[in-house]
Amino acid sequence: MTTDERIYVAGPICFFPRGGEIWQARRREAQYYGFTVTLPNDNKRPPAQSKEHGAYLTLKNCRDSINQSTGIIADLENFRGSEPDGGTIYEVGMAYGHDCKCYAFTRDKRPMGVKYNAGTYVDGGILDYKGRKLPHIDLPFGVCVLGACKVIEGTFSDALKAYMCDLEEESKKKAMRGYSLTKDSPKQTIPRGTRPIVYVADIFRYEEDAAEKYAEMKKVLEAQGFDAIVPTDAAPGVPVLEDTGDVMEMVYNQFDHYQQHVRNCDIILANLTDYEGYEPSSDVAFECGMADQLGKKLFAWMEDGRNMVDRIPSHENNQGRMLDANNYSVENNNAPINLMFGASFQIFDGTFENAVEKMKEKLQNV
Amino acid sequence: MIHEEHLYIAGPVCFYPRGNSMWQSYRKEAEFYGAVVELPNDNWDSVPGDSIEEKIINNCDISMRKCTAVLANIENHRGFMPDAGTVFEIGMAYGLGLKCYAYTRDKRAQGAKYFGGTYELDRILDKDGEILMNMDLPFSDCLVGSTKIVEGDFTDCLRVFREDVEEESKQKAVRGRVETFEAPKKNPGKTGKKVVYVGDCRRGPQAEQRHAEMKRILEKYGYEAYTPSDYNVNVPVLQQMDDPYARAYNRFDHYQQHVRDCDIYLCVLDDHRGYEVDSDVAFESGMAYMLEDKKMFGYIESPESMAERTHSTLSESGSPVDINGWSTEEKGYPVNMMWGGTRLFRGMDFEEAVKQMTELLKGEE
Amino acid sequence: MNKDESLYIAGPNCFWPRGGNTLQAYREFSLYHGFKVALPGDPKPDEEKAKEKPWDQQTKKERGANILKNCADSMDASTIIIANLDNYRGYSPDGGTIFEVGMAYAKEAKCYAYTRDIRSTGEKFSGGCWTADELFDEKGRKVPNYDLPFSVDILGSCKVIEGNYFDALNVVMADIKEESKDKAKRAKAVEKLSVEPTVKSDKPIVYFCDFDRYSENAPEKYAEVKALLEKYGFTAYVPTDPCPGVEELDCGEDRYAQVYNEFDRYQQHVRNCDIILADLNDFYGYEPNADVSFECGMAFQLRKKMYAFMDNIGRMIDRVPNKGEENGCKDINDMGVENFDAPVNLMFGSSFKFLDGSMEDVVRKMAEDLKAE
Repeated sequence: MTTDERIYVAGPICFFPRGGEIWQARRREAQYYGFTVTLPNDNKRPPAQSKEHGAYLTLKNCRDSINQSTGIIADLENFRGSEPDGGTIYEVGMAYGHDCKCYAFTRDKRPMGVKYNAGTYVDGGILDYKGRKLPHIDLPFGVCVLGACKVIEGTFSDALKAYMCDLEEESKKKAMRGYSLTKDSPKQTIPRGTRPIVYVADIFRYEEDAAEKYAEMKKVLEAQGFDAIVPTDAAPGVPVLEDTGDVMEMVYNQFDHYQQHVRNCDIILANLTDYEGYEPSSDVAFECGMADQLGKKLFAWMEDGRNMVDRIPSHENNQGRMLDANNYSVENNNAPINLMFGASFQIFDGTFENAVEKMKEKLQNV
Repeated sequence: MIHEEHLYIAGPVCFYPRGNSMWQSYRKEAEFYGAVVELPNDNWDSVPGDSIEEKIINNCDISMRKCTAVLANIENHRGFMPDAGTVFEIGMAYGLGLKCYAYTRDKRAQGAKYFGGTYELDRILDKDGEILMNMDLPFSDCLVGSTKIVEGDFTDCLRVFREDVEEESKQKAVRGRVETFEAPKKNPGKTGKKVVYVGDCRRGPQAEQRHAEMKRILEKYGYEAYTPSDYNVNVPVLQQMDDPYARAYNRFDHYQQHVRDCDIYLCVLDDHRGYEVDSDVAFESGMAYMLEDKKMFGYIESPESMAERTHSTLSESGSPVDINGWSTEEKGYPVNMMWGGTRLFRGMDFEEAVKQMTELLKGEE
Repeated sequence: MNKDESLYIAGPNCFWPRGGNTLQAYREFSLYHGFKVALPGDPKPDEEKAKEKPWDQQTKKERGANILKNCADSMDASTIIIANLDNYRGYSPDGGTIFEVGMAYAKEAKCYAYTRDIRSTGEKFSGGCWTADELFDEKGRKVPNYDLPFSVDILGSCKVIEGNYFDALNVVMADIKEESKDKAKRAKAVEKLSVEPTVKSDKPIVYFCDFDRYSENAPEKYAEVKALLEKYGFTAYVPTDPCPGVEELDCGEDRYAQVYNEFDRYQQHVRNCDIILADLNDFYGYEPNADVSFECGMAFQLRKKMYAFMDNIGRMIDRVPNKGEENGCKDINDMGVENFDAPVNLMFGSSFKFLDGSMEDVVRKMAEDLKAE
């Protein structure tokens, strides 16, 4: 097969012992089938001046690669908790923002209610290990991952095969009489005013008291001179569909609101506090990546903003890598979180209110 | 093509909505390749037993004795453990000397696949603050030790099984090759008293104290007592090996020898990391059941039934189901009904259970 | 959603030793995932009929016809077909299976197929003779489309998955989820297949469906055949004819677009005809050509009149070597050779009228038979 497709291969394997080898295997497999693989960028990059600079160069490399890509295949393996690796989902968000075809694979596509292995069963639900009610126990992954990606149960090879199969179908459609595809070019659907619009990409969107909490947050932002959007808002231009009983249809509609919020804002203010285990919420991670790709201003807050190597117990191996108890890498970039966020976002340590204040200062200083 | 192999297909699919279809699917696939399949529900009406749970275990017993191998689904079940009934069946199969195979979609180390962990420097604590043992292995010692574990689905497992059967055939014709394996036998106790082995979950250092207390109580009531914290004197201790699978096998070897050596197997059946019995305990239970020369008792601290603990509601057909729509055990039964042949002590402290057990045993002498 | 879909599971599995088990396994597995399933062999006993003539009192021909009827009923209830493209007694997939794919396509079911080997024909062909730029089969014919894994009609109609039934079902389920998402997408894809005939004629239209479409002497052969058919009062189309309404597209290098365009022409020919006249001679091994099989299935589903010719229209069990009726007509691999008093698989055997002789004999007999109606 020959194809013009250029794919970006994303996943947390770079953090696993010998993960680079799997990474190369995946890359070579895709190349064998005629794909161009856009990451890692083989171009020599300038030497890093510091940890932060190194992280920036890596991120730049990822951004450049996404901009050359037509598709992404992402590994949704859970990472230090039940969520997929936040950096991977960030890349999916970037790819979606770049209008790539998004594919993802997982060994376990059962619904979260079934596969969550540290839950407490209560009347009408399951609590996660932190005692919070698990949202969407009937879905295998977060709303944004499911909305953006075609999720294949299986391995990278399975996802690659599904991708190729779909390419063949696409080719056939070029010759199919009576077939047409109209595409809404995704635009901002809020008229621009004088005040900057902030989208609060927060993790409490599925909690019962989200409405009150978000009303408070909006007040804080408005008092500081911002217009605010929160995840539970309806996005102008996106219909609110009636529940048809088709779960995935409803998921997409929900996702459509979220992704439209990202398009509509000037600034994203994301809550990157650990959601499950030691990773941010996949909805938030996706929105962050998308906001990055669309050139939004990027701010975030974390309740614990210490450096990642201080937050996650880790030891140094003989090559100077910091490793967790499973011998998976803990990034050591002088940042509190995965470099995809660490090198692109201004991250504030502390509360939401504090973050809004600091964000305002930063914006004024620009 | 498989000749002369009788397969026992085990798994929790019977608890899933429409799960019986999945089960039949496995059976038909195995039959296509020439295996004879024994499913537990084949002859329900003729099975002896007064209660459902007795009939269930008797039924499994009858089917298992016709088999040469077990293929088991060890998917996590309502928590971190595989379905305890399935692991019980693997234990039965091992006790009979069957070939044991299992499959899982996730054979990564437990440290990587546990969702609720708190990370420390070189270990992980579970959500109750207990150390996640075997974090570098995919499953518990007894499962790793007794069973060939295939990553994949039933089809993959059956494929590996078929390939192994072919290799076995070839081995018969290899010149100069002699493989011997002597199945371990029962060793007598040291004191002449009744030997009790307490099957309790292995929580690492935290468990040792608990096990010591259990021993003290049992000795007080006149038994020679062992727990998983004890080495079995008849099995060498190979702690210095680098290979985690060899170490796991050695630990398993101690456990299985404890089971063989005891006169009474007393298993502790409280939920472990979720809503299932610990898989080491479940395995030992199945094995002890199949060895026949043991008396079996079960102890559960919780007075609640499985349906109560999992906050089950009644389905349209009137049977209890959990939030995911999976069945939980009926009739207020506290654990998987594979323990139907085990006398249970529920909702009391351990000493009271030992006391009642002792009285029951006296009555039987 | 899965529960809205009904699967038709097709494949040569029923001919394998113990193969019925695999079909049952697929069925149960699909039921587990919430699908409805119709298997070709599902008994739908019409009780009155069964009383009239129980199975063991029927002639072989009647049995074949009843099984085909059964397949047709199952197909009518189905929304998706999943077909096994395993090769069968030769290089081709089982002709009966491809016939069923044709039926499914004609009723606008979603068509999926799976194969354990999706490499190109050039790579996986056995018994061929390779030159620098051609591949010849054991009969010395050029192998058409050796850069494709399967025939044009299969690739045009089906999404082909490398793997087993379970892999295919996995893809089906992922696609169904995408369809659900599509319902909520603000941008819509419009898919309106043209299914109406695009030609009219005062005379009955015959589609001459054979496998010489790929051979070098096709033009001469087809000119003769068309002249014959016209002589006997028919309007004739052959596979290489341009089809009104189907533009010849310039698809550049895009092989699957080219394939689809070619497939589109063939399938429109079937829609346009009143009568299909098919060449059911063995193509590779002991199976008819896959494009021909597909078009026959379509013609059946679209209620066309069906005639076929073969060099030998005697019984299949006399043509395909087997261990005899006393041994269940098994071939050397213990796979079943059908025994329904027909020259070929019952899907064809019970739907076609079979003719033999010279091409003129065939056309004349067909014309006479049509007149007699």
